[in-house]
Amino acid sequence: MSRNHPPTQSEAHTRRARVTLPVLCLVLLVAVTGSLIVGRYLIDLPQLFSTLLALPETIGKLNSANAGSLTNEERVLFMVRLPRILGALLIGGALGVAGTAFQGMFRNPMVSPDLLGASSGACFGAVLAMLFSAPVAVVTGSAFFGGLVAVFLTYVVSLSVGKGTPGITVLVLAGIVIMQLFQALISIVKLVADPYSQLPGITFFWMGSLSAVTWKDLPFLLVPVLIGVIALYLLRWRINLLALKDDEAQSLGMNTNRIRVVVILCATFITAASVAVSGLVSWVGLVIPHFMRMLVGPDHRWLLPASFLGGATYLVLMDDIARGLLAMEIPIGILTALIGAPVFIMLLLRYKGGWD
Amino acid sequence: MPLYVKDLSCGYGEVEVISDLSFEFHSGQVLTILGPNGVGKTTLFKTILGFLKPRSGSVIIDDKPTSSLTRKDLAKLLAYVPQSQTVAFSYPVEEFILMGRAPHLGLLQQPGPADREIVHQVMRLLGIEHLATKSCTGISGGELQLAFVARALAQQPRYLVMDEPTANLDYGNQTRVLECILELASDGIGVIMTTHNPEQAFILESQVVLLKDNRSYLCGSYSDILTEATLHDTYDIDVLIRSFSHNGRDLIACRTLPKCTCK
Repeated sequence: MSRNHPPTQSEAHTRRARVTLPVLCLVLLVAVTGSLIVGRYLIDLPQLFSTLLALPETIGKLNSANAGSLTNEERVLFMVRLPRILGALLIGGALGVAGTAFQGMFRNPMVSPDLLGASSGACFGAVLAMLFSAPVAVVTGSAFFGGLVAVFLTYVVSLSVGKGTPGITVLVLAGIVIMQLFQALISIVKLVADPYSQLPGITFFWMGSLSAVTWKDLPFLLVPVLIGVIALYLLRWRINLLALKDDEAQSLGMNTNRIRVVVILCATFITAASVAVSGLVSWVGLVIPHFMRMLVGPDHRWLLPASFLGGATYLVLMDDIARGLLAMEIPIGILTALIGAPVFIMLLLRYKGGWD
Repeated sequence: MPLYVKDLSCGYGEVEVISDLSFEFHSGQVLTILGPNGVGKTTLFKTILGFLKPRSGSVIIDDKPTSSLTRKDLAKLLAYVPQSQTVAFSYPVEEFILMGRAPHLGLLQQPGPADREIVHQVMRLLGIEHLATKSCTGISGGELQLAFVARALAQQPRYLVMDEPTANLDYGNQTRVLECILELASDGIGVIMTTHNPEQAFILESQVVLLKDNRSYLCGSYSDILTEATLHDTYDIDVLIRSFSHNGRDLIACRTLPKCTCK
């Protein structure tokens, strides 16, 4: 058989992946450091380091009773910026990983937590719980349930329309339908919400924002995201095998249905946990996996960690723009949508049936 | 231990496609499944592979019906080579073949150096080491077919089940795949394959299951089953079969005789 091949990307991918992950870590670290500095209250680098170095002494004062004795720098860094940046980091990472998992599992580069309806479903679950002034844990749980129902509906609709084999377009279209359905349900919640005490919060939440993230929210984000991301990372090689046709994967001894359910549960879980804290931050799960795949290739052993780091960096930087660009806070969901929409059009232009 | 197919009936849902099929087959042999379009070749091998439940009867390996084995254990005995087709992701060929190690690994386990060594052995055996780092989406159809064979061999199975292994391949690559099948059989692996071309059964000197439209079937050695009469019966065309001697070997060849009214 012919031995002349055009050079392919895969060799470069594997080599690059080994270099890329440490570089992405470094970039994230720089982004976090930079984000601690910028903002309305400017803190310069020496100030940042001296404040951070004094952390062992300040840590006792951080509970709200002693908050009065904090310096301005300490208050801005520890009470406002740090929880918000950590929130952005976790949510960006989670959405990146969820998008990668969904894309790998559905063998489809154009799906994402948004387009499968997971985000809208989770958002509806969250605002419904907020309507009843439920505590954070209930909001998260309700978001998870809403997200799961939405993904399930999308999958069932696409299966019945696509007669058993949901093609790329059918899956995306089904997702858009379900997304619109849940957007309508969200509108109903907005309609019945108290226009003074509840509506502004729900609307701001719906547009996506990290401005309200506090230390109290972080455990409800950190724990589910860690569980979901670690579970998906453990399954990284098996997710590669899901890219094969179903009967092929089964002939390799895989229980494809069971693994698929686990992947859907994990990806929806971390999407819902993110949405419950930040509201709808759309398109991250589409944009990030796409660029990371260009960087490290389609192997989930590299792609999953890269998507976490890339998503985290992306959202930390986006949040800097959200809080720093204008005098008023811009909902971050608007920013990510402004970037995501053109990227999706680029994807449509690039993918004509093939994966890359 | 041979593979037995006993009184096997299979089909989708209500429709029975194959009734009461029985044959036995040993590792180191080649078995070709022949028959007209839509007669149930695919249904039969999907049932042998366990993708479809038999309506009645069973497939027995090592005295155990395959329906009693877990999917993972079955994958260590039977490997499936699908028709050469495009792969959704651009995995390097080596990583693609490595996927064949899945039945030997735990759910959360990653393939290790020993698995890679097996993959390298398989690539050497098939002469495709030079493809190791190439992308699955950037190689030719023939090379991809060999990569599928390699992935199946990495499973270290006793039997290979191949769905039209020469479909979509050019004349040269078809013959190379057949050579590869002969070599595997001489190494002690049993190869079950479907094909549309009886000529391949002659080249492989294989066992044959010839499925006919009326749900009847013939099975046995190629020289007994594939005759001018049975092929005419099955495909409703005229076929010429001749034996001749070449380099001291007795060979049999067949060709079709199309009816032509234009001359």
